[in-house]
Amino acid sequence: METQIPRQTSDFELQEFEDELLLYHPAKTATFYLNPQAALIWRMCDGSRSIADLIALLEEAYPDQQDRIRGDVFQTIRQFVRQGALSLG
Amino acid sequence: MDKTVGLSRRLCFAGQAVELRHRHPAAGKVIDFLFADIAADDPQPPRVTLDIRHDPGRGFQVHGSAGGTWGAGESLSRLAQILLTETLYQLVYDLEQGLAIHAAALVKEGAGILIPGPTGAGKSTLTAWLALKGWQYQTDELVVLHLPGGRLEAFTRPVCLKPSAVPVIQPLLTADALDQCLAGPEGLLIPHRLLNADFRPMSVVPRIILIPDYQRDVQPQLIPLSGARTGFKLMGCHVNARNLPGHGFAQVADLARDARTFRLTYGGFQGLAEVLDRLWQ
Repeated sequence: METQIPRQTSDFELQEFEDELLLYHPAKTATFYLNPQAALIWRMCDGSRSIADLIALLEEAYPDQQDRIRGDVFQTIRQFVRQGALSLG
Repeated sequence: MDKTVGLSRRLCFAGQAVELRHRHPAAGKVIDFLFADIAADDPQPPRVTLDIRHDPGRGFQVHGSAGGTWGAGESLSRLAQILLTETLYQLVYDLEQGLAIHAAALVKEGAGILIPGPTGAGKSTLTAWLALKGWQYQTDELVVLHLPGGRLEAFTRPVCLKPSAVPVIQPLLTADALDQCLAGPEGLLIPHRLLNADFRPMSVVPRIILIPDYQRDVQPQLIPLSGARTGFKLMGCHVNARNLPGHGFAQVADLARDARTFRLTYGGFQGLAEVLDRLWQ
């Protein structure tokens, strides 16, 4: 999974609130709240980086949280994929 | 004032209309009891007509011109619930102007306060208590926020308490007041002027949003909510989304950004007034 490249799908509308986000899927009439951590991961999933790249960037930016970043990234991306907010290439 | 002209009463709200017809005096009294503050004189044609009939064998029945029949038996309380539910549904069904939000609304010191939440969230109970404390009641059920600007139009009706909430509010009412309520197995309908004698409809912009969070034995507390969390809550209470471009998502987000929002956790009314006073400090 680490080599896969996550990309935001175009099915969602986005509203930005400082470091948080709301995503809305009109066809499913579903709204998703993204806390600051999830919003950061979402923003980084622009199709230019693999999951491994994401983890490396975050571990570099937040060295004191290295022990949990990998698990959090995988969990968050899996959730986005389940919701249809990300595709994996 | 009896707004039921002959056997027909039009309900006009947010540019929509429904017509009620009846042939039974008790049905006319229920209509006036429920809809005394709903305009009757806008020119738009009704979306649907609800015909209230009564026969000795089956009691009251409500027939919708677009289909649907609801039986109330001889219960005026049941008839009232059917009329409230069906008229609100019909008034919002085609609504394309403004955001219809499932929320109570009050005004205090000129500021509009929204209390959004799904059925059963405690909106009406909290709203009744706040109205008794002098907050100006507008509705316990539905507002339409007219854009741009977001001024609210409230669907003003009697406060509808569910059976579980009746023991909470009933002791706060006088015997005379209770005589003016409509009680039944569905709960208690309280004419809002018994809570706010000086009721005035007010078209204000909501500045404060309270998300009620009743928890047994919890001290009252106001917890600020972020704009994103507020928007998420409001989208769950947005009832005419399908009629609006982009489902009104951007407008709901704007409302969430512009208002101050708090989760109000409380386990009773003790100390609640003091906590809510902090909203104005």
